[in-house]
Amino acid sequence: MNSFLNSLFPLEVEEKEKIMQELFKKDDTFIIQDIYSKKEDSLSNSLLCKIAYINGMSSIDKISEMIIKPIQKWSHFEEVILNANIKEEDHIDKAIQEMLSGNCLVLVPHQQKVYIVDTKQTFLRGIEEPSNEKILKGPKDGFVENLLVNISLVRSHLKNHLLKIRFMDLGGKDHGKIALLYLEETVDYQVLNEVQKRLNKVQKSIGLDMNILKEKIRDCPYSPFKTIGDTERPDVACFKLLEGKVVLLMDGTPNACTIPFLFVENFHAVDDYYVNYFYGSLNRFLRFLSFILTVSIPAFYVAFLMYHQELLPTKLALSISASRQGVPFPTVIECLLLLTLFEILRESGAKSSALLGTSLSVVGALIIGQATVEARMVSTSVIIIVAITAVSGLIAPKLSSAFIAFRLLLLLFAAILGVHGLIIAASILLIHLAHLKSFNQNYFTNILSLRIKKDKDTFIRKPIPRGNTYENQN
Amino acid sequence: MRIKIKVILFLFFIFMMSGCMARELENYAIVSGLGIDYINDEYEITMEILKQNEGETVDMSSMKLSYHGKNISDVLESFTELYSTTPYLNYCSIVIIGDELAKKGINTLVNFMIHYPSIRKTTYLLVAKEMKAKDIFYFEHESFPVISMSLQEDLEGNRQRANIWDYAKLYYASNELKSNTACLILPNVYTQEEHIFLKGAAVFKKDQLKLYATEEDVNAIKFIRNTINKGSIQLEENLSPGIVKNKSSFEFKNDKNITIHINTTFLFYEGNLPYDLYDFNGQIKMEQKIKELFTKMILRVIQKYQKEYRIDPFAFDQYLYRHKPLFFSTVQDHYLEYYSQIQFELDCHIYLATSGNGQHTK
Repeated sequence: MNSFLNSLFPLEVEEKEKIMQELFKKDDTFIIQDIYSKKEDSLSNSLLCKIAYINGMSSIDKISEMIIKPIQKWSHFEEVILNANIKEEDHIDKAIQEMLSGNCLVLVPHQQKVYIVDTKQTFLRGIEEPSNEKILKGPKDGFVENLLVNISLVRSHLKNHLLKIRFMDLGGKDHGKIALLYLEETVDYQVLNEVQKRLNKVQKSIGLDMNILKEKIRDCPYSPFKTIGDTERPDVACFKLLEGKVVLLMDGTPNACTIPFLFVENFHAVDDYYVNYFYGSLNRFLRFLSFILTVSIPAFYVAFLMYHQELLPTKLALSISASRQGVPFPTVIECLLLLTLFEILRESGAKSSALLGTSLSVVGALIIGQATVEARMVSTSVIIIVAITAVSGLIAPKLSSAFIAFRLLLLLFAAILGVHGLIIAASILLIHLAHLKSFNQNYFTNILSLRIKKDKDTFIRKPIPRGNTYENQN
Repeated sequence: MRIKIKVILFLFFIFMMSGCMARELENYAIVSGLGIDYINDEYEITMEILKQNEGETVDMSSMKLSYHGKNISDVLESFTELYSTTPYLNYCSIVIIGDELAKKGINTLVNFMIHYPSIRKTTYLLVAKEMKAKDIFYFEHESFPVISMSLQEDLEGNRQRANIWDYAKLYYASNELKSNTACLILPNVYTQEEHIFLKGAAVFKKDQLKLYATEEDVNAIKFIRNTINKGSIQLEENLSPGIVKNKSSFEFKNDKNITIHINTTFLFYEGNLPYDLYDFNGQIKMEQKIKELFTKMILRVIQKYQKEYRIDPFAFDQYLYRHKPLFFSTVQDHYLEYYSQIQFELDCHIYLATSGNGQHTK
């Protein structure tokens, strides 16, 4: 039966129907319907054509109004179908794809081609603020699952004729269309060509989500650091386009990918630009600081307590020592235990419903904060360390996977070799970051380059009147 | 692939052996102070160990342990048998040397401590005045829950005293003892009635205790060495001005003449003063009187150490070494003889300050 897919439609409409029925047998949503003429002066109704569509994907009203009624009245096809988007196709597989997208096929007799009419049922949810990227000031719209709506959202923010949008069809049949957006005046053509080259190499199915496509085309797939950015906000996508990046949109996914993605972008947020530059710079500085804190604090704690006790002030050492009296576990096991517990709580909080969220937080606080300390299973100082680590890690959600991986790496190395191990692990981290590339751009661009005048918008959010915010960051 | 396996195995074994090198903080006995005595040809070491109390608040308290033996290192090692945990000397900030040991000589002790890895080089050395170091540590009073910490706070100037004792640190003492001409000065500590006093100093000739300097001597030494900028000084029975600031320097006029320049500001509180400081004439008279008393005091102390004890606690040798190295090299071998013949002159400028209360004294 798959041999039919690669061939052309036969001339006769009955043959066409047979093929379609065979392809969609046991599928009750597939509808094929005859259309007869309805001329008053005719004694018998003759078959004009057949229409095929998927129930639920195509709008019945549109089919009736745009196809059936005009054909029955006028008995012509192309001239009377009331639709601006009508195509012809003679390949069976392409026509099937169109039908599965919600279009209606008009099977005409004595012609090899079929007509494809846009009768898609729109299943749109309202445009609302994305829950993962909330801001206090600024626009509150977010992407939805429909590609054309998403494109229109981008256009509404960026009314520039130099914004180019190209649709691409990748290998595989079970995913939506992909759109590539870029601004002609700012884009880096090397990056654009590289993106197109990698997209063209994707032959097999990429599933239903943009993340799977990202995994296929990204650099260094085993690194916990992202090399392709994503966003659910159209204004962020526009900022990235103005910076010269390429944006990818996919039908069925309310996310846009931004390419390339550099290390400093993990610490940039769009609301830095919607508030005063001083406050924006302070927030950015806090994100950098939180990265360092969340990755290194447990490691420093373990290193100091296990290997370098003399570096602690006397009163602090005495305080920590007193709090650890009677605790059965070594310091490193305590830290690992509590960090694991925190990750479990975080994940279960993310997966549970809102009703359970409050109970979960109370249980978590009671179990971790109160009961374990009173039972002398862990010491109070470790609770403080893990709390600081956890809270610091929440400030930059883009780096959550990297935090977990490298926090553990630094902790284990510190447990083995103290501060020396910590330095070795930090060196491994830095070497890995310096080695990473994102579509031929160094991941550490803007940090290692030391171009102070050019890279002013890296560590601080520079005041806008003093320069162009949208300089190419690459 | 083979390299990856080797790296993973290497990391695995290092991780498995990590427990051999690490030691948890609560498994250590934190030693805050050490007292070392020499009695009957044996060293007696007293340790003040901080107590690690469980509970919501950490109250500072300590326990004392004493042990004796032929060698200092053997005694330190034996403490593990007495107390189940290993003493951790990295937090030891005070070492009190007993009177007997100071008179015998402290070179061995200082050499040992400077080479012992756990003891910090910034540990303060004190001398127990005419008593044992053990008695200082075993002194019990509610105002002194941890004696070594109280002494450390005092030495570092938490209270309003002119106790800038950087020269009492281990690394400095070690350098001083290597020199033929230098004279080590360490603070005195002693108990009297129900109090611990940190007054005066122990003056060493080479590495042996020569004498206990009085408070007046110590102040004079500090003025000359330019290490005093607060506290008070007693010039007469009813005249004890405070010190606001001081700057001292030497001038080498010729082979046998050194002039000491001192610019100092004294602070007077209104009270029973001999002259009215709010009157210009009173100020002049007060200045002259203070200058006369101060000069006499300084020269008296210099004379005492120069002629009577033949010790140079004023660091003139360091001045000569820095500014006249060639000349110093010629007198270095018989420095104390040369020192006893130096003529000292004092060029003193006194400035008076009042507390600003506005009340006339007379």
